[in-house]
Amino acid sequence: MTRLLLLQLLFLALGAAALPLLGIAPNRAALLARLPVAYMAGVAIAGIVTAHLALVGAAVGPLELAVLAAVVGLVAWRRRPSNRPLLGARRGRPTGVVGLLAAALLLLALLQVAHLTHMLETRPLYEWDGWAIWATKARALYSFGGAYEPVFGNYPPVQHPLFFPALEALDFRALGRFDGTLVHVQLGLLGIGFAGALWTLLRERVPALLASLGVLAIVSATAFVQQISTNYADVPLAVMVAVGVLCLARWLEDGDGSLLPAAALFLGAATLIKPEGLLFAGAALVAALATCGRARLRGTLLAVAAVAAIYVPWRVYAAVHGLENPEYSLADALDPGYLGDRADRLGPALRSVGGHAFSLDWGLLLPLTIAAVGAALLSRRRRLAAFATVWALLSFGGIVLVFWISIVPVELTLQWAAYRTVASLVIGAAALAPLLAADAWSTIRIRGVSGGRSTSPTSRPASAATSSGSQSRTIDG
Amino acid sequence: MRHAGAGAALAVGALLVVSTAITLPDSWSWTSEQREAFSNVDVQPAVVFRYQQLLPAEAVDFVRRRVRAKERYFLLAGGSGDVVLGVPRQTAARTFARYALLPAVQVADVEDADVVVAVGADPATLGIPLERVERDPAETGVTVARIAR
Repeated sequence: MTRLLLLQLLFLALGAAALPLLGIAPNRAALLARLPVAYMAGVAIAGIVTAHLALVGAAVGPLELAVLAAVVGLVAWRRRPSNRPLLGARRGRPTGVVGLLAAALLLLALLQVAHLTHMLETRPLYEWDGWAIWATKARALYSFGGAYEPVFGNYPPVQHPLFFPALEALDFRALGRFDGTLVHVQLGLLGIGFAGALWTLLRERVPALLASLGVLAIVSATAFVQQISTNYADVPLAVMVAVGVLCLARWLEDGDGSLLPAAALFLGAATLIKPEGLLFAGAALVAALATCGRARLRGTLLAVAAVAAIYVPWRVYAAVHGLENPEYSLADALDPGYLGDRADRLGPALRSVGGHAFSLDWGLLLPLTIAAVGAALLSRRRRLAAFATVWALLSFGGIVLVFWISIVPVELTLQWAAYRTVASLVIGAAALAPLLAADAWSTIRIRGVSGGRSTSPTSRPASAATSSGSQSRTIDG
Repeated sequence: MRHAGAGAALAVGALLVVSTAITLPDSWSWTSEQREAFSNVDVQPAVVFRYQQLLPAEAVDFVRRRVRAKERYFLLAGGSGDVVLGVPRQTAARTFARYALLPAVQVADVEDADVVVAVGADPATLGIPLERVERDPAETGVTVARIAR
């Protein structure tokens, strides 16, 4: 267990070293402020590097990771720090009762994920895909040191990229053995890292209370808790998608270029976790291109290129080894005749995907995101609202389309997969909700609340936060 | 417009609170129950609950002592019926063996195999020449047979 925790420190160190190099934290102050993002960034970088090197039969262990972190850190240290300010990092420390409440809610969110992680320490492999797909591939990577062709070219599903099993194989190398129980702890720690990163990225633009409520609502969702415990890749995919989509939204809304590399990193990692990762990342990039405007087009195109560069090695490997998805071909989605022949699948797919996305197992995450889009529109955040809406609709449509064109009997494939395929959609949308509602939230005043002067005048709209008198104040926290 | 925006934002805040109120108690208690259920179980790192019956731990050890790393085996499974929804027992046994018998490598065609691992079945039914046929003395129903070349 200690070795597994030390590996997490390596992820943190790698991420902390990479943030300045990627421009995500251009100076020391920004690095400190965004340190909670470093762990997720470290996991993403380690997963990408380990997955790609596995394709050429090269194993990465803690030693190699430490060397990588040291090299990245050295390069970052030798570069002159930038004086470029972070456009989003404008909010001060929360104070007063609201600030205390926000801190308590964040603490509760972290406590919830810590409770989960404590449980995962004892939970063996149990659910089907957890061992049949993911643990098998992770164990094979650990045993063979790379993507041994007789296994990875034949053990179904061959079309799954290697990020997730490569990350778990790294855990086994740190532990010095295969352990189907302790590997679950990695998932819990990823959940903690997600909560920290999400809060940090939200807090730069969102009142603390709203950010804390958002994080707590996501990590306490029953579906989040239960699915992350199964050693399935859907929630790990969802957290990468969510953080990536949030970074992209922040870039579109604030023009904060420091978050563009972060968006590319997390969305690129998502494309390597599951085939659906390409759907959710692609939907985010298409939505960004559709809403970015001329001023942000170049940056958005750079992000598209970076995500493609991260994804391409896997695509090349899959093409060279003839690894195809036996359940569906995306080319069929462009064939009206094929779609027409299978039109009877559309209704059940729509009902099932919609039903699971709005299931109470996710709490009210999607309904509140819809309300947040309304709040964004009413506070004239049209670009942000358009991005979130286009991304969510494309993602939803993409999920339904996959079930529509699949050759697996529709009732089986929906029962097996619909409840978890929606995880990225729900978590990603909910991650955007506090950002969508932030400006409208800043216009709320509570009568009769005094004291606890807000030290965090909001950036936009400025009038909302600075006009508070002695008898009213904004709910900023 | 501002009032409407504030109203929508308040609705978002209220929905966040209600959402958490709906899920947090269930999530917390589910997690506690899982911890309680598994903390007293002596779990071997490679054992898979619920599906271990497909190839018991003793049978896995028996096979592992006879099939080397990267050696290719064909899994012959007997039995019928579904183990889980839509997954026949034979498919389930093959899937579980892929996981449990690593780093030996399962192949889909017996022609590509060095060894036959039979679970609840007789390898002689394959009609290929076999040598050194060993049946698990622990009566797990597992037989390992090397294919004669």
